[in-house]
Amino acid sequence: MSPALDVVTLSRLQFGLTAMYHFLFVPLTLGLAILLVVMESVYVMTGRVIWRQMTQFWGTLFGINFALGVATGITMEFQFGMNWAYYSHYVGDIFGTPLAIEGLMAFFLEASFIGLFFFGWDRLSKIGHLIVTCLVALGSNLSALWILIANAWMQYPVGARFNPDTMRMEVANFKAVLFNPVAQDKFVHTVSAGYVTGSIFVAAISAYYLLRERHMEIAKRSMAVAASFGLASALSVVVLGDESGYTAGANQKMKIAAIEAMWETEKAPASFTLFGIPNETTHHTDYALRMPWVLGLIATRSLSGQLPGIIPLVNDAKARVESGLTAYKALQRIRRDGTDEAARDALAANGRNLGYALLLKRQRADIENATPDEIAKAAWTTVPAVLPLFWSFRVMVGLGFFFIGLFAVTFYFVSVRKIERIRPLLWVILCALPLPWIAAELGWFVSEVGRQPWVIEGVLPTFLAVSSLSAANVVTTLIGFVLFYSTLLAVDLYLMVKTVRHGPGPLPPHAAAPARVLPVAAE
Amino acid sequence: MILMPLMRLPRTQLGRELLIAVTVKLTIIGLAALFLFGPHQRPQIDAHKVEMRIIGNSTAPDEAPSHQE
Repeated sequence: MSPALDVVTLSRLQFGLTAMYHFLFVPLTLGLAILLVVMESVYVMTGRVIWRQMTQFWGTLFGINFALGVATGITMEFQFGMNWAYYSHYVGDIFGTPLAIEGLMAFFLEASFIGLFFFGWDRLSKIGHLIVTCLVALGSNLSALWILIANAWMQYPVGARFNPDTMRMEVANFKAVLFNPVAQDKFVHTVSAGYVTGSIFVAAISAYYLLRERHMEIAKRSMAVAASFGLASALSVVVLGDESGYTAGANQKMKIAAIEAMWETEKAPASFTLFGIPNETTHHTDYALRMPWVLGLIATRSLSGQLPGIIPLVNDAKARVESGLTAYKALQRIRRDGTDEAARDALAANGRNLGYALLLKRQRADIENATPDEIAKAAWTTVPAVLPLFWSFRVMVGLGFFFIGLFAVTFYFVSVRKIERIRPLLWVILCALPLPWIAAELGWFVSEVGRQPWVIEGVLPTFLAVSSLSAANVVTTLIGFVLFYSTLLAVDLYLMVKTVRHGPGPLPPHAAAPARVLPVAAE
Repeated sequence: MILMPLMRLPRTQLGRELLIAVTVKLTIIGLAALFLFGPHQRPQIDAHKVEMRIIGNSTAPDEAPSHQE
């Protein structure tokens, strides 16, 4: 392993770790914010104090999570400039815009109103406070939207063009960046996953109270809200995840082929490999258990649409490397003589493949002299790690279906008002607490590792995006981040557990008794 | 003289606590900007450096310290 690779690997590890830490907090913020709106809306509509108390209790947990989530998110923004300086220059014109809007619009909205949420209970009217809670939820969801617009552009870089004079990608069509189909799919899929996380969190803590027979009235109502909202969210997350996969199938064919360990193009409609052990040396999936037609129907939504396999896609990549070399040579000429119109025409014609030629930089500096073997080798680097992608995706999807079943059963028992008596189910709900986080982290793993070797799909290889830091620098900060973030996580868990153990406190007299017959969720 | 009224501590406890919290935060951010993420710590990249990275002969991004980039 060369020293350069060390820095790349370490920088990736550092960003991956900080991002995964950050995403421990984000989905819970997204989910709890909406659940707070639901609970407070019931309070405003019914006037029942118990719903206000519920909102305040879950709001406290939301606040702990929010504060630590912000702390872990800030460092990521700085990493772009510090560890990924070439990336920041090369695509900062596009990538920086949604990040700036996220900070100025969504985060400021969320951060401004969160204070009013906590301290405004006795200073604002009921409706006024509900509006504040809605704005906090809106801010957190808008924040996710802008971040995912930025991330989606890394997956599917639309609305931008390379400027050989500034040596960077520049915005050509901001509307295309904004309405990137990948962004839309990623946004709805990610926020739905957040809603599932929030629902499991509320359901698991409510299950804990029901098992311990503490705070029964609040726990039953919280369970009702979590089960109904969670069921809708779990169904959404699977449907929208399918849509996200469909979009990726159109724009990131190699990622889909790797996730499915589909080495060769199958006759349409392709089969889905339920189980198997992809062998990246022999290019074969051992012990494969296949379901005929399923993948073709899911990924192309037709009986005739073909999904290309990894090996044919590698062959396509070879042609793109060769075309990219033409663009590369044209770029060299433009940099020597900016008035060379023939070179500009050649770059315009082959520019979409420039990134593929840059993959050769891993092997030699003077890539214009690359041999056919080196071109073939570069083409094979476009295949991401198949085995971890294959299994991460399957575990994530399996968990998604498990959540649907869990919420459906819970919703049934909540509806027939027997949930507190089904103790095995309560134990399952409690034990399911970490699962949405595992699913969400695996989802990001599939998304980001599946994009490799690109930091911007087809445009900029990851190894060219990293700053010229020393390995020692990156190792030092990596250790610092791990220590700092572990401390934050320990503080988060300590505060959460302390708050849950303390519970929402005693109910005011007659707060729990229904004044009239109400639906179970509003009772 | 004009700043004197502004330099008085707030009368309420909440005001004093807010002042302390904001002052501590600004100090931390200022020190972090000075020593951790200010322009002097950030790698300075321009078209020429990207050209050297992409077209130039150097493929080893590990030698120069960040501030000399």
